[in-house]
Amino acid sequence: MNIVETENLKKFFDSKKGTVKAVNDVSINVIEGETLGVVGESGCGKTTLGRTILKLIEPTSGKVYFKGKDITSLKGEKLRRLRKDMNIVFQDPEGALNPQMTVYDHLDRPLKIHKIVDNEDEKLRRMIDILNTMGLKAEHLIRFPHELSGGQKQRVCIARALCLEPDFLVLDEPTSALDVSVQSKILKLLDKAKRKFNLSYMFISHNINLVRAISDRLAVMYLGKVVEIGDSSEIFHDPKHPYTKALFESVPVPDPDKKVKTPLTGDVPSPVNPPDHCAFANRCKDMDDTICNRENPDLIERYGRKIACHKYR
Amino acid sequence: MASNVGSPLLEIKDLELEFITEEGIVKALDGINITVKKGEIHGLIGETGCGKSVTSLATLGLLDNNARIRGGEILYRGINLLKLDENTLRKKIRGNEISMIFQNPSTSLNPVYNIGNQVRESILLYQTKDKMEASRLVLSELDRVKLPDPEDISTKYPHELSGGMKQRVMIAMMLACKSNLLIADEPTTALDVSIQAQFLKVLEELKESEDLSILYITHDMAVVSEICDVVTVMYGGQIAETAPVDVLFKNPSHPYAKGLIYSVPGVMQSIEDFETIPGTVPRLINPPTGCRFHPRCEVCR
Repeated sequence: MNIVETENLKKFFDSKKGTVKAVNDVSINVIEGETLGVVGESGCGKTTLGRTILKLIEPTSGKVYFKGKDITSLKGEKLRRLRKDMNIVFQDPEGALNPQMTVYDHLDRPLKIHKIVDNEDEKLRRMIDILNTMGLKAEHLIRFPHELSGGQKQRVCIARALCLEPDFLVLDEPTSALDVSVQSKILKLLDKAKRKFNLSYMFISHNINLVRAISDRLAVMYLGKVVEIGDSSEIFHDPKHPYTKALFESVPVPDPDKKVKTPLTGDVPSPVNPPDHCAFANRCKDMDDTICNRENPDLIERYGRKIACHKYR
Repeated sequence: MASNVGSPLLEIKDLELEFITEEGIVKALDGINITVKKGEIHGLIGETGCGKSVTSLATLGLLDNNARIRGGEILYRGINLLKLDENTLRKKIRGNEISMIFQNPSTSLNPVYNIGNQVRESILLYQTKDKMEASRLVLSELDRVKLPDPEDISTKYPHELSGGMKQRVMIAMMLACKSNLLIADEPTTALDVSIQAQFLKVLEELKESEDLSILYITHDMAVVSEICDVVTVMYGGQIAETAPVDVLFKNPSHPYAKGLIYSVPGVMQSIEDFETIPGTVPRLINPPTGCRFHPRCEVCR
């Protein structure tokens, strides 16, 4: 079952320079119980996609389905009630926590708003249970954010997202602001929480080595579109889309014997007024002038995955 | 420029550094030793609070007023930089001998002057007083860092360039200053993967052609393995381990270095394999005595 599904999802922003087509016709799905990794460089739309799926941003057009139900036009109270089932963890735990509220206050608020438990003892028990799952203790309930380390703050943010027992979490660069050793702890805790609470994750990251280690399926985005999506280890082992291939070759690997190549020259393109044909054509080694500069490739099934490239039509 | 390759260029010896703060004295560096040799890219890695950034700032005399050097010396070509006055540091050392680039090149470039003007300023200071010759050299320095169309770039303003291009302009300025040592503090952290790859290639090529010496500060272990020859791992203001890059990645000795290497995605292929180091990085107001890693060390316990 798909926990989340989008159909021709678009999110455009108006700017002085033109239309920013941040998410430009994305049909994607997150299977129940999986971690879908979403990777891509600046301007690819991965963050906007995550927020549009959660309706933190209103879609421009297209549809979003959650557990099979069309939530695209949900508003007000109905949308608010959905928030306990789908939630988000941001990159910067500092900005996501109120410096004047204790850890207890942060966990209490969503429980109160959604009227999850009215019994104080039961509420406290649930809070402590979630904190323990995240490797924190009951004593942390009385701490303020400034008394916690970066890793502890992020664990509080995740605990807060979990205390409503959601089904789906968007994790938007959840460990990018943390030290490497802290990062590995958080990832293990996220994995533990996923199994304990039967969660599904959309894990957005620019760190390709990291996504490789934790995702079941992978979506690669370029300029507002998904260019390749499928089983994560298969794509890493054998990337098909020319951009995916070039991207993976540019990633330094922590092995002194393996050196990067630079197959991608020039700059990452801007999503302002993107072309009506394949956006990667001008940097693509396999570019075919008869079609690549004229039409946008559809995302079609090939090799057990989906690829948006005229080479595979 | 091929002479003296392998000889020590920068020697930090037993450096002790404190910061006076309201909460107490922060013992930021506890007698550290680092040597950067000519023609070597020396990686300096470590996590929050390890002291890698303050080490570089101490080298160039850029620390805040509340910093106190309690002991040790920083020798550059045999001269103790800590004993130099501000005037000499500014005229002879910064820019001329030792250049520094940071994570965000926007804060190092003047927004109201075009690129050509800014690179030319360094050339007129350190290479030639002849304006015609200087303009020619601007284009040649921009070309050396593989910027496409140097003539066009030199007429542009910083805000018209991408992050990756700006960072390469900073390297061009360093070359224009004829620096011998580059200190780079997280230069690619803010860059996209493909842009970072281009930048690292430029550095690698310059290392070959110019015998460039770099102290490369970063938290990114993959980048370290990509371009560094030697790596120093810092923890809590102390040196944990210094080793050639392949030794560090294949056979780390220090327990902290081991824990660090084995928590890096890419070294470990799946979550189950990730190692974690128990506990957290210590605060340096009352750091652990002796080896500052011992409270978290599996060997010690």
